[in-house]
Amino acid sequence: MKKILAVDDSASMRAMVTFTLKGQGYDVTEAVNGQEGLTKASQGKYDLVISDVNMPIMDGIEFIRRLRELDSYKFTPILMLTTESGLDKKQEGKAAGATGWIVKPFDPQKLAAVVAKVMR
Amino acid sequence: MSDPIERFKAVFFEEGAEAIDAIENNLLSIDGGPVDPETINDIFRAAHSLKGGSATFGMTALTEFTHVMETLLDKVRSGSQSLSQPIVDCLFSSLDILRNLISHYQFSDAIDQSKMLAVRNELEALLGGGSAAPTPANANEQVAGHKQWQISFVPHANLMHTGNDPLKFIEELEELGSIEVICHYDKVPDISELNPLDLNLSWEIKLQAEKPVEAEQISDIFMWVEDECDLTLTPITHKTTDNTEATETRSTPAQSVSGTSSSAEVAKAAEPAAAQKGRKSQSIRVDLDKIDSLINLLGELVITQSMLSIFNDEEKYPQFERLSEGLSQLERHTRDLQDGVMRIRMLPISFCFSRFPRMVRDLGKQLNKSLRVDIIGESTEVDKTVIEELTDPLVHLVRNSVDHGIEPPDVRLAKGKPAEGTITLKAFHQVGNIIIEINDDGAGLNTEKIHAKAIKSGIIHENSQLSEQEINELIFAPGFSTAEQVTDLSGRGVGMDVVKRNIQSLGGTIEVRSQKDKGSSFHIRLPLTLAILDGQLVKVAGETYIIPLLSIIESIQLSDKDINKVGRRGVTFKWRGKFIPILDLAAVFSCPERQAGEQDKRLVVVVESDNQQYGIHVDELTSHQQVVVKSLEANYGKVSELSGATILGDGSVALIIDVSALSARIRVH
Repeated sequence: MKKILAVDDSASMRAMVTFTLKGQGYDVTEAVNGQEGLTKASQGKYDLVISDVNMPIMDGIEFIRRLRELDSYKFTPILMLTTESGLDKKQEGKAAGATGWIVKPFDPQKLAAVVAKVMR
Repeated sequence: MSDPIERFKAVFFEEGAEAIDAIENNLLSIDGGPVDPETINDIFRAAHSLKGGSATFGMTALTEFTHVMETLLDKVRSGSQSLSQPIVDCLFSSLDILRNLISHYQFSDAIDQSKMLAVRNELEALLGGGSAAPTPANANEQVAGHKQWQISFVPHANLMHTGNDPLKFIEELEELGSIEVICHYDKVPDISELNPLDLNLSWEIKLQAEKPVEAEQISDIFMWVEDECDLTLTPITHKTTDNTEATETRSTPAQSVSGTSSSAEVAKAAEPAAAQKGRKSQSIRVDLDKIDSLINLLGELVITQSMLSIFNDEEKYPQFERLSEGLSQLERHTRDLQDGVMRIRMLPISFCFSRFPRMVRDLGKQLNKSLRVDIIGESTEVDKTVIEELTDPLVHLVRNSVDHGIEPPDVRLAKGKPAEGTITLKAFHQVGNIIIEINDDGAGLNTEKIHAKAIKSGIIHENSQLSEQEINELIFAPGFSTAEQVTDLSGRGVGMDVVKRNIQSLGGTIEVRSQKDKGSSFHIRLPLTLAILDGQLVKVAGETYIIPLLSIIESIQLSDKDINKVGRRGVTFKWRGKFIPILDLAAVFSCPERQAGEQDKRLVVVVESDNQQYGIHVDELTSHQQVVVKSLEANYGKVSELSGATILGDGSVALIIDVSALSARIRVH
């Protein structure tokens, strides 16, 4: 079973991501901020990481940069969840090593489709 | 709630309310003081999550409103606009709109459109009339579709460093139509110079679609890597298949921003974020019903345990020594478990107190009074139901203090007090109770005015001699209101009598103390929880009743000569220097008459309610124990003079007496 790490400070967002992706047959682990995400990522190997950008303690950009520095995540797809207003965030995220992004708001089908594409 | 989306919405509503509270607290912390950039970041983040969540769940009005807020906050955050007082004020007003919008989506409450529009206009004005409506990600460029495209995809060497796989884009292109792919590998260096992490290939793809395909559709596929490749899209028209002559060539600009320099900037910007301390406390959300059913079950366990405790008697059952040991342990563990579970329902009183700084601030502005709120003991824990029921009375008391208690600044200065009035909210535990105090340093209660008013409204007789304390307590009398004119703030038809009734319905008491020009103080005493009660078991005509231990002063035995009969039914006795009435519980509950012989030794429990003492005549005092309160209202119907029922160790039901409701009978007498 492919493993996905979902990092978001919003419980409703995490719940939705987890629910959707579990329904698609993925094994989903949650983290509430970049710091926790980094800890969990280094404890296991995930096939995909999905992260929010605006989070307390460690934001998504810093999280992605640090994650890319880890040997085991050099080529792992990392998607960030971002809003339309965050155009500069997309570039920041890309520069930090993000594979791509999913624009908020998204519905479960869209999320499932993007993940399916990346995991193909 | 079986629909998962509904479930996520429920979580979002809770989260939204928390986000709004967080914004409010942050705004209060900067109100007037220097601004910590992290505070603005927190506010921004909260507004941002609200926007993201509301958009996901299709709550358009909330999304649009938070978008304007977010735009303004972003400007403040980036420093292009300073956090002026008008902005802070406007953000405060925005919170009311947000709460309104949340309750609109949660409970279908009406949206206050005019107010929302007003605040939104104000926000936009503060933005400097900037475009605030959410703009679609891509302006719709009118590009006619073509069925055939020549696509040149030249990835930069670093494309795979971000976890992207070039083949995936090509596979995705195939979804638009059939493709012919040519891979160029001439740029691949010698093996000695090859960096395996770099990508040195490029592709030429010819797309042949059934339906016209727009350039957008193709560039969208490469959206994630538009800065990491050179992409050239050339439509193939029927007349010319030579792409150099194509009428329309779209290429995404090859950005000259080098990856290293921009990431260095980012690293600098992100440093403060990394330096933040962890401040989230660990918690999980649990449905209140689940906790209540747990408490209910635990109540049953306590009852079972006390049924078994009958056997915990070594004299009667010497053969069960080990059983007895086990039972003692069971009792101890049950008690610990009970404490633990009850604590789950407990919330810090800050849930209730936190609204007051904002409320007082708004009231102060309205009344031109300078005010400060001091909160002490906000982490004191109280049962959730108590907190919910307590909020309205407290709001009323604080409003009263601000409106009637605290004087205008010039009056205060003339009295030699600081211009700024202080309202102190204090909470602490005291032997199984929680005490809440609301103090103000205002003018205190106007005793003469209260006295005159009470006579005028017929609450007391003109000639009655009352101490100052007794006069002050008249404010709790039904039908009493001191405000000469009904202001917008206080006097909304909710009098202090309602406050008192609310607190009594929680099994609590309220007292007032006042000193002229020093201020007034309200002292509220409440049980920690409504689910468990310390009770004295009494027997009347063979039935067991329970009197809450909290209201009992003492129990005494009286002989006939101590009793004074007044009139036909009234019975009093002298207790601590004054005559207090006695109620016969047997008469109250229409039990069979006592035999004459039992009359000369009367067992009387002296109780107190509303500062009034009276005796309750019972047949027998048995044990006192903690009982689990079961609602009569939920299981049978409301019975006045009874506050609930419980199940005793032997499985029998005992009714719990409502001491304050019972005292009404005395007034009738």
